Amino acid sequence: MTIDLSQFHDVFFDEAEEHLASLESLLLGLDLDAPDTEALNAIFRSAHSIKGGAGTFGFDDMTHITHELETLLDGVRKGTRQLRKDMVDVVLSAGDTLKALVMAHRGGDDVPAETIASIVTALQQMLNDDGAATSKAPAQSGAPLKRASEAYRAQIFISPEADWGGVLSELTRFEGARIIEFPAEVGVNTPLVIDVPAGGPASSELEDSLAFLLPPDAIKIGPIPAPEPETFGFFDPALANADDSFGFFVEPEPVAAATPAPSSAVVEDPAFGLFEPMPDAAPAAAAPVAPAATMLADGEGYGFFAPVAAAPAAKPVETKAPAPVAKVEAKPEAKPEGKAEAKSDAKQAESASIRVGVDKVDQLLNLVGELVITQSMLAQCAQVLDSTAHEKLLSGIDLLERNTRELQEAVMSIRMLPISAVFNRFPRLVRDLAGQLGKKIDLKLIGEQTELDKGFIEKLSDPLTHLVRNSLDHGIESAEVRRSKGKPETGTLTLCAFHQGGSIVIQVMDDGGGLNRDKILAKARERGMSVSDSLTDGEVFALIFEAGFSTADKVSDISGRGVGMDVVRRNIQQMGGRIDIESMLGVGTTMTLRLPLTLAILDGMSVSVGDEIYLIPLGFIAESLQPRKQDLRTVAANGRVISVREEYLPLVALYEVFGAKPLYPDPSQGLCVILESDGERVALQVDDLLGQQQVVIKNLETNYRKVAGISGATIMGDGRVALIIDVPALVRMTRSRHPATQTA
Amino acid sequence: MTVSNALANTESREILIFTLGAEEYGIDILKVQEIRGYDAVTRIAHAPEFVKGVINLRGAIVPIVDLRLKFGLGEPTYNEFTVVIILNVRKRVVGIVVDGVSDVLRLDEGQTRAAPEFGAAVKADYIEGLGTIGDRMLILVDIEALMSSEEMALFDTL
Repeated sequence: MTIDLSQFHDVFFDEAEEHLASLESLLLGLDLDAPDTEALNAIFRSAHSIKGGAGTFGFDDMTHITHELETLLDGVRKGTRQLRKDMVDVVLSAGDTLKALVMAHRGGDDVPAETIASIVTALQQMLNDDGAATSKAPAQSGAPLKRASEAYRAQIFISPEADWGGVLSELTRFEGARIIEFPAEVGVNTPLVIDVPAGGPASSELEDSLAFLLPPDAIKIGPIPAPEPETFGFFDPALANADDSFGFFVEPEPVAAATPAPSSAVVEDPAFGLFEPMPDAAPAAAAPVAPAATMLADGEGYGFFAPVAAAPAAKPVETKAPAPVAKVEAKPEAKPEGKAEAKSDAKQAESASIRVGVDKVDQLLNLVGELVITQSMLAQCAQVLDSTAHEKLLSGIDLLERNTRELQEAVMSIRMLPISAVFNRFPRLVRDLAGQLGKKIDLKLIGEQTELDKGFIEKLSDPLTHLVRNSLDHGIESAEVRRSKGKPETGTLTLCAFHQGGSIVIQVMDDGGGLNRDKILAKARERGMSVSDSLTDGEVFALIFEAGFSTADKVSDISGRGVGMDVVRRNIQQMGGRIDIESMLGVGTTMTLRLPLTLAILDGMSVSVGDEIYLIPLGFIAESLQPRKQDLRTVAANGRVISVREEYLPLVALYEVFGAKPLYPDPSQGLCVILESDGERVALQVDDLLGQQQVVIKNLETNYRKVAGISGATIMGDGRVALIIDVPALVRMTRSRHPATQTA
Repeated sequence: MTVSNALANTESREILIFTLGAEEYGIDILKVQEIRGYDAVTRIAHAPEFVKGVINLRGAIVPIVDLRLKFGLGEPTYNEFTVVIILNVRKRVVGIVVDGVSDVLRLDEGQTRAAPEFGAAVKADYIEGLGTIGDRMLILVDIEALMSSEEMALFDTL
């Protein structure tokens, strides 16, 4: 039986990408003068993890780069090397190459060998630059181990929050090492004591391999004191077989050692199989799996605990544990088990997530959507039932409604991710662009934890990148210009996300030069657009979203070709969102993106006109009221307005817009829904409000065409189709029809 | 005027026959998804008169076109006998209302003739040919071309 490692490749790639992303963001967050030790350690761990995985799966090119990278980072982490800006640059570009390699191994474009070679050279150069400082090369799993000339004893202080599994599994790689004393309690005071005989791995190897799991001062190396007579019987014969790393705690019978292997090789969750015996791990199957486990166990602690736990807690757990194991000394008996338990908790918390394909989540979401429809259909049927005769049925339907709603929310939340997934790419982008443009730019991220639909996350990154590039290139001025204008030399770009009503608002703000209204108007005329000077600022600024429109004086690599802004707007609109610009010349520009919370479900108010039902997205409704006759006025004979608390709003009759036959043509008999979109308010006259409900948005364009004033369709409880009103479009339509009311 | 390739290449194929007024039309049965009654259509504003609106077909929003109105044939009445043919054209689902569905026939190549230039209600562009079965004459319609034509105004872009 062989293990096809390629089945794990995708997991490795995903993890490598995550590690690279965290490496990058941590690196960018570093203060060069006073780097945070924790961050440095985390950066090192990322590089180390990638190396481990790459080594396991035989991606030598990646191992090669990460090896050098790790060496460099290790020096920084230990303080033997000073972190410099050029070093950060090299590490970042190494990260880029690794990303490209991951793509290449995934089946993308190959990375030229020169690129890899040049990165390795750059890293090595960086290493050599520091000359004397690089006395210590850290242990590499591929490199030959340094041998200790003399036996020594290491005391390892492991704090409760440290990665016990990691430490122990590192130790298993130390041939000849013997555990002398296990800590009596979880805590720093009692060390884990191990002895390494002469010819075993050098103490520096031990330090290096543990260094990224423990703080540097946690390991104390010293000579072995005179042997104590009563050495624990448990370890001695077993350790003669030092080649078997799993024979470290248990006697080296292959079956027992291999028992955890299936769990570590196949199941990602290390807690799995930890306390459960694996009865189906038949010796025949288990034995060949063991090498894979050994590989995977590197630094991960997988498959390690079962034997540990098995040894002291032999009777209840591990039926296969042979007799000698039970002969454990009293002292360590209770402890490792407790450790294993604590450890398993920690590991469980860490790995309390699973990777699931988006298609599965989408399918789930669709099913829930259908369930919601069925549920509301049932609820509607039940309305006509006599409440005393069918009490049980009705309460069941109530319960169903609640459960459905909760289920729906839960399923929706699966798709929600913090927007930091998009924002995180910008520190790097801004840093690189600022360097290219020779500008000084501070990037501020606000509200990174705002959650939004995963579907948006993927689609947002391109439009946002465009906006950020635009702000950097055209918005924020060069340091000299800023100084002459009396602004601080360093420009500020703020990315900000928050929830507002039923939507998510994302803003890209810069304190740059702002948009020049006259210049845009001139440009528009030059391009043969018919524009009038009376356009509002918002309308003028919206012109930059027209295809091929660029006011940049020169075309640069970064932007200025006029391709982009129209794409940005189209992308945002495809997501059901809008984009608005506010700008003040010389002060700055704010681009505001508004997106619905999710792609699929809408909170709506159903309204009726005659026998037709329409849905209005709730987010646009400010209030509803029945107008009094005296509140209605006509403006210029054909336009009507309604006075709402001293404010005149244009009145639009839904039946006129959609050509329906109303029950009440007279507004004072019907109801008015006050709609608000883009800061404009419009009163929409309908016959009646039917109620508020959540509906699944169906695209009208799947089988039909786009309809003006309609954003989609949905299926109501009775199975009929209702159309969803596109409020912003309706408001725009109104404005073009009621030019007089704009100033009212 | 040539018989379209689709016809020429198939030796025999099955045709669904429906009536519009006194005329009998045939369409490729492979384009037909199902046949159902006419119910609860939601009107769409500003649509041409022959687009009756959209229906909920098991969760999908499907537009319904009344061919009787489109071609000015037959009686545009809507009752429990009104028939809707749900078509699958260009990966879209569209329903057409006709006067009635008569049968499904197998048509051999020899039974089809090129359509002459004549003034049928359906433009000659969408007529693949004429089929003869006994003394019946079928107007074979390229329903895909017809439904996706600009004059039907069903789709935004083709």
